[in-house]
Amino acid sequence: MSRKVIIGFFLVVTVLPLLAGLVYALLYSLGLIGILSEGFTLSYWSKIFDNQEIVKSGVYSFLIATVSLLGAVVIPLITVWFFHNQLENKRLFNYLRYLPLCVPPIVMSFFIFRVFGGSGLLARVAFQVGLIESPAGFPELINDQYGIGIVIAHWLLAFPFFQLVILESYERNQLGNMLQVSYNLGSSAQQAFRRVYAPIILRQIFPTMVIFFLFFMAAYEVPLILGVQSPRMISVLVLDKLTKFNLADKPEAYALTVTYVLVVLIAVYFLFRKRNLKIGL
Amino acid sequence: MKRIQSICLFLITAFLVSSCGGNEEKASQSDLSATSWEEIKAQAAGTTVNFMMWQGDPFINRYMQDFVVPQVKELYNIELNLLNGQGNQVVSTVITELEAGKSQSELDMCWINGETFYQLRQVNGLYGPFTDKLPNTQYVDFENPFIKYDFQQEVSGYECPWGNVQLAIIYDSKRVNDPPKDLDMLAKWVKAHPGQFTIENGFTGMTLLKSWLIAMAQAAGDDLNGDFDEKKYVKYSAELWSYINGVKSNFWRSGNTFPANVAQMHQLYADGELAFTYSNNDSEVDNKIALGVFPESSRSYVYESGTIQNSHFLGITKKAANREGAMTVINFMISPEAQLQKYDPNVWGDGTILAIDKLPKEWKEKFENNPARKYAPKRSEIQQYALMEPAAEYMIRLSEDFRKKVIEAN
Repeated sequence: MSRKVIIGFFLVVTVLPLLAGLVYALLYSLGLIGILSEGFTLSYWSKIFDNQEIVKSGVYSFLIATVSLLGAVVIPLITVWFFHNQLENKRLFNYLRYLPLCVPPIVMSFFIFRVFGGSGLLARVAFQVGLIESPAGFPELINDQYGIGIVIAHWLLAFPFFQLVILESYERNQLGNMLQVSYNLGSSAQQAFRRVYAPIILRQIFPTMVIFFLFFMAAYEVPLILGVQSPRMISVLVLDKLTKFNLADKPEAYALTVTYVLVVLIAVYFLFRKRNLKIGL
Repeated sequence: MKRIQSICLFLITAFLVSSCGGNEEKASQSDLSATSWEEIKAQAAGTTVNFMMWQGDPFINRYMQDFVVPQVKELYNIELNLLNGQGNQVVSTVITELEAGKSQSELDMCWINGETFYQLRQVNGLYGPFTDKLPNTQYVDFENPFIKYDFQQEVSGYECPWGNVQLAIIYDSKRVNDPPKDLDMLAKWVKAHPGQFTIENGFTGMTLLKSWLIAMAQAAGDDLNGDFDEKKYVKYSAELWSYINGVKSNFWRSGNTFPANVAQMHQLYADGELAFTYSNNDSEVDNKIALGVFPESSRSYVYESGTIQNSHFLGITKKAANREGAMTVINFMISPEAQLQKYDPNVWGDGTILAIDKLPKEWKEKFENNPARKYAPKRSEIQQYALMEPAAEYMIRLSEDFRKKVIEAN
């Protein structure tokens, strides 16, 4: 009985508001509610599906999230491989590595803006040294087509966290011993990395990776400050539609939100289902 | 299975209950049509007024906090509570409240203009007409087209003018000797100085585009007054996009991207990346220099082809709990005293909406002998280049097409 109560409570607190929001967005996107609604219509939905810009925005968000995640995982994966002895149990480092976790994305974005911008810290140094003659001479690292600024911000935000998680996983799985065993059995360092070290860690941090991927994919402040006007990441696009000038865009924004949530839910379901089968949880 | 069914049922019921709850609406607002001003003032005493306004400017904030708030407390015993929110937040707050069927709004009054007014009127979110109740409107010339209409929509007493400003171009006189006075000269300047001009993709940038669009219509002996005209829009906007696309390779970042808002544009100007920025307030250059944000060599001017002049307004929400308080505060905010204080470039530098010639003599002199603005052009000089705001749809279309035909056309 008490278990049912707890589950019920959990549902009411977590699932109910989310679901209510989703139903609201769905009804809004179908023109059933909303101050300017004129009754049921599929026009907003058909609009978002033949809009090139929205498709582009989705693909762009996916790519940015992928590159961000890759960097945020691969860099610490390599540093832990080489420096795990030095990284373990160092008090100052233990303290410092938590620091970036406390930095909100918006602060990180401004930091990147001030450092990597055309008139930022690096550009000023380059100017003083005589490498460039005007702000326009500095390479475009922020507000650039490729999202370099966004990716750097994401790396800085997530890299220390993954460093922490990977180091912990290394210690918990006693990977030091395991790697020793594999060397004794004649594997090369490369083989040990590829067959033992990386798979064990990646499998363990997989859920964290998925969460960070979704976090990157839905990022708002970072692309707002460091991104370009086109392509826009999905959250920026939705919020523009929701709040900029044209009230008739609101239902479209809600249709997009519903689509995004559904895609993410389905993807997460399949990702975790497959994984559970493999590991047999 | 049964459990899932009951959960679904529960969720649906909960949703229906929450969405239907608001329909039984109570009329808790008082009808003030027959109430005298003395009675309104008396009822306002001792109340709190919630005012949602954009608080992105330290000058404006200081004027409100240090002048208006203490004054209405002292004169009318009203607690004026400032809430932060730009136009679109006002609209979404009001819309959300209307959709939820709330009987009383969180907001009593709000700072609006142009498209916000259009949207709020569209959803019937404003109380009015109320301006004829305010004693201080005797000094306002409601026949002045820049006050009578807001984005070509007649104000009709649903909002009260508070200030009047004109789009002005700000430039660094050390870098620009002879600022371009029209679009042809601008194109030449931009080609000779690549990377130092751009258009921001927010409200101010759209105001600039509207000014250009009207200039193009006027050059063809036409205008954009009246309701939105699709034919005119298509004709002149095509001209506008081809003009911009013709020069944008010499814009900032080669025209591959554009600043998201005017704050970013100001930042780029202050950092020296851009030689130009612009502001919807013709006296902003003085404020920003006084703040130490812009270089002292900054000056401002308007194109001879004209720039948009518009008024910004104060509105009372339809469901305001405290209409009396809001009206009393608005009446104070348009008093000669409050307007003069605001007019001072060291305080805010916002143009007054009072008709100077309607004012009593002593006030007339105070407005006319106000210490001249140092770096901004005289208002009387730029008035001849003032353009009326076109209908709100022009901005919506320009904003969409600027994205489609310029930003994404790379």
